[in-house]
Amino acid sequence: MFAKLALLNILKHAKRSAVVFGAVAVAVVVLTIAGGVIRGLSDTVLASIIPTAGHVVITEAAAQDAANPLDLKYLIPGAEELLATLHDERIAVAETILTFPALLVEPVPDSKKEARNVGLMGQGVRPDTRFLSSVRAGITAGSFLPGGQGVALSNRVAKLLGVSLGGTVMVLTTDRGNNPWYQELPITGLFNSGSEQLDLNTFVVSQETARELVDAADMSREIRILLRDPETAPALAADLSRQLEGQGLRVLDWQRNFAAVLTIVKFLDILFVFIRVFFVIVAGSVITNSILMTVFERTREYGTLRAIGLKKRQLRAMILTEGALLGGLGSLAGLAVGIPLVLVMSVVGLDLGSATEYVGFSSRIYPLFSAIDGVTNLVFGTLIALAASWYASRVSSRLSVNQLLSHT
Amino acid sequence: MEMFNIALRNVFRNPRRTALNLVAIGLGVTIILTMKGWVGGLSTSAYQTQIDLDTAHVQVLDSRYQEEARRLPLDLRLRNWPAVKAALAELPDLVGAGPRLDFAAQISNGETALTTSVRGVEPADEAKTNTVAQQITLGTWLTGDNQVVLGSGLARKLNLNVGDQVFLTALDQYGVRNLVDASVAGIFTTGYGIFDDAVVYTSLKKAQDTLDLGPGDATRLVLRFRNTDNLDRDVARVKAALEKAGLVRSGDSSLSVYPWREFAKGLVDTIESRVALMMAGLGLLVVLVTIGILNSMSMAVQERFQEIGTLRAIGMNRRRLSQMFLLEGFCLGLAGGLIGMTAAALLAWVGVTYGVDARGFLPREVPVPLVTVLRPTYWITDFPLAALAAAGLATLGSLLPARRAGQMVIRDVLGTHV
Amino acid sequence: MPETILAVRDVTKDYQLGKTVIPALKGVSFDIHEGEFLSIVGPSGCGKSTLLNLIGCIDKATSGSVTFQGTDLATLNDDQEAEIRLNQIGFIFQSFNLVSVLNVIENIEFPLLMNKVPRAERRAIVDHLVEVVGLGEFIRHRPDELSGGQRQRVAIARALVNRPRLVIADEPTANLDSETSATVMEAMKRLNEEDKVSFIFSTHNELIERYARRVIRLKDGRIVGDTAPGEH
Repeated sequence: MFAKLALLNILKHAKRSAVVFGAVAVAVVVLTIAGGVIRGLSDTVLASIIPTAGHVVITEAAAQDAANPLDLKYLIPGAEELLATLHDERIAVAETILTFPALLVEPVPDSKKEARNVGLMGQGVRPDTRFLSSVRAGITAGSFLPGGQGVALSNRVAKLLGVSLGGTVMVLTTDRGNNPWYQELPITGLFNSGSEQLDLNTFVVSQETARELVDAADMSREIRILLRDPETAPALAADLSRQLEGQGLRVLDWQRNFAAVLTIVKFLDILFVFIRVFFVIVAGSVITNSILMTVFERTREYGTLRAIGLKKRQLRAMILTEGALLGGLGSLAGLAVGIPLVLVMSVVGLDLGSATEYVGFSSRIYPLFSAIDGVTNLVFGTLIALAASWYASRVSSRLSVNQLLSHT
Repeated sequence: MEMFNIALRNVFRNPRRTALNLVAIGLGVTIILTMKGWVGGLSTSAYQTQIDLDTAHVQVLDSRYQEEARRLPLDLRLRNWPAVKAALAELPDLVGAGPRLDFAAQISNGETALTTSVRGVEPADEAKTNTVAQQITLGTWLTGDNQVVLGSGLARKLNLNVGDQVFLTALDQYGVRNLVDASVAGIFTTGYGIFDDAVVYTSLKKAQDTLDLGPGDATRLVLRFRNTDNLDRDVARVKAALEKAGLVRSGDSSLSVYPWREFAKGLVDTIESRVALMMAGLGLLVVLVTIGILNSMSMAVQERFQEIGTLRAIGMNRRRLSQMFLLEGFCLGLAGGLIGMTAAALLAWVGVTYGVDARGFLPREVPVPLVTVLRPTYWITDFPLAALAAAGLATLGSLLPARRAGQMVIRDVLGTHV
Repeated sequence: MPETILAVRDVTKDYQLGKTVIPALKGVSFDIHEGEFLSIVGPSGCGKSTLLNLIGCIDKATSGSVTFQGTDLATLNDDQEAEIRLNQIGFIFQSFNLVSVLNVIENIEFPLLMNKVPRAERRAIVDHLVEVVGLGEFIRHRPDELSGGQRQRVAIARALVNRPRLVIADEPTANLDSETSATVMEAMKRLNEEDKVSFIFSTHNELIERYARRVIRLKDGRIVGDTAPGEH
């Protein structure tokens, strides 16, 4: 009966209800979108950094504090043998990778002509590597590293150098003995990884080629490990540290490896809490006001109901029911608008500017909707309306029947 | 005036409702002003640092350079920079103009080599266009041809001090590797990570020698202006002056003039996209508050049916009645706006006085120059404008209810009871 | 002598208006017996409504006692008062006070719902009352679709739906024209005679006053006349 009366009241005072409804809905829309963006950001970290960098990384210990961590002094000797000793059920994938700086130069037959060149970071990987997935997935011409031969470049670098698929490129390096060295390699693949930073700074060769280029047989820059369960990273890192003790190696789990990025994610989380609080206060005061009005407008009616025997408790229950209904329906409407918006954005993406990439995110983030967020926001919107009606019901039921009745 | 009086009293007739409205409006105004201040402060600071340290205001380059900037193309260069500089010498408000020759090089202390971005400059010109010369913390700015000045991060990594010898290795314009040596004249500290860790200055002559280029060769001419209120006008003036001197086209190459934003696209995009996101959020906040006022005023009209009838009965016309309610909304909005403005002003004072130390907040490799203690920036007019905007919006929110009040028929309004 | 259902003894009621204390009742005593049809009359401001509110458990006396069926109303808590208003006393208002969003039937059965009366029983009671007050054809109408007299008859039916011992009506005909007033008074009188429900109503209209079998006259918060039953 209360529910029915509440519903009838909502419909009867359509305009006023629309305001509460609208205010709850707007608040829920904002919270849904903001939540989606934040979740999208966090997800980018997990979905784009981890597949590139792995959950746990083993590097040469001295590299960390070195002036030039990319110096070829800091390679892991006997990397393949070391890799073979890593047996652990928690490990899904483990690979050796050799990263090295190089200059890519346009091959010109006539030495008098100016040769275009660009300095990049080379990634020496297994041709079937599980890492660099955005590069593999972004191949637009040719194939990644067929038979371990050749080099894969981004389309943008190829354009800068004036080279194309099927042609060659000169890779200039300084080897471990500080001697200049070069190889002319066939271009076997062109890619668009989706990240400007990656595209403009990376090329890929097989690890064999990389080892030849820097004269580092059987050496690697690092061992990257993907886990079955990311949560086990710190424990595995600790176990590996013990296992590898005394070999001059350093084991880092991703939370420590990307502490700076995670700090920013955390900062964004905190920012989101602030956004929430602001919106709750502003939406809360608008909603409270509207509900107070709907309640005060009917003071006499409440007086009548009390006069014919309605208990205080029942009166409060009635007001609360109405608030809950409005809050719940408003939140649902907010979700009905917010969720499709987030879903559209999750396909279209949101451009955050290219500087974002240097923080570890990609410049285009894809907001994500999660059911948990939806439920939270639903509860949230309903709670604001409930809190407002709780206040209104307190105010109303504090008045005596006589005061209620004589209210004009 | 008596209308104003009635309106003002009516505002405070229902204290609870008014209080809630004031909270909503006041908080809305505070949030918007504070956000605006900090966003303004952040972008002003980041943009100013960008201009001071790196790009200056306007640059002249070969028209094809920007497209291939990533490879620092030596082939797409200015071939007679002194002529370009001379053509621009008479520009109004010009503070300084200087050439830069940009190239990538390995810098080594004899043991360790690091990749850096080297700028060959005319020391005196560069000191006029750029503040790095003023941020030397050890040694001096470039005084001779055989010197380098480098960032403190780089110096620390390579364990370099003033007077030490360094070696630069770079590919010249023919792709031939050249090695030259120089001594460290000075070390600068700007606080901007990617700058302090990777930028090296040397003389233009030294750079030209290293790259096997002639004395007229430079990558760009960098210009700094005194009054930068209208950058587009400055860019246009530079273009006109080059046009007049007949320098825009020569052979198959041509010159282009760019404002600094061209060289900080990532920074500008990043800041502007965030500002846009935030504006969208603030816009919704405004909608929310306006809905609240609309509701509140329509309630005020409704609960005063009898009074409206009485006022009409004793001769107030529809127009004045509507005006009364509009004025009431205006007062409410103004009061809320003033409260919000005061709160925002307090926050602004705290912000400006103490600031937030942004140094070290972002990882060093992020190309957003937050190198100072951040302070919000405000225009003094922001505050009264925000309060007036709140009053305006509140008036707007009262428009419908006020019209309704004016359109009521006396007979219906007096003595309604269900 | 019929049973006494309500005893009012030396009741005073003061209202605080800012800094002034306004005495509304200055020592009022009388009894109400079962089956009475009693009118309280007097000029406006004489304390009629105050007195009825005290009897109806809507307000509390400043001093003195109101005893309803042996219970001193001053001793009751809020829920107990609500209980009495729901089951023992019916209330009819000058301006009808119907719930605007409910139709005639729903308005009348509202107190039954609060008592959790089963549906079938509710139907029977409401149907009967609708018949008695003569609203048969309007049962699906909302209050704003009814005339004043019809609304007041809905209010009467609502007041009677839980079979109270006493029905209080504060100026029930003040908002009605004289013809409609007569039908409302006739309906009340019929219920009084047939169902032995006691009625106490206030009025300042002499025509309405004539329906009463006993008349208490109030002036300035004091009883200035009590025409006992039979004297009329």
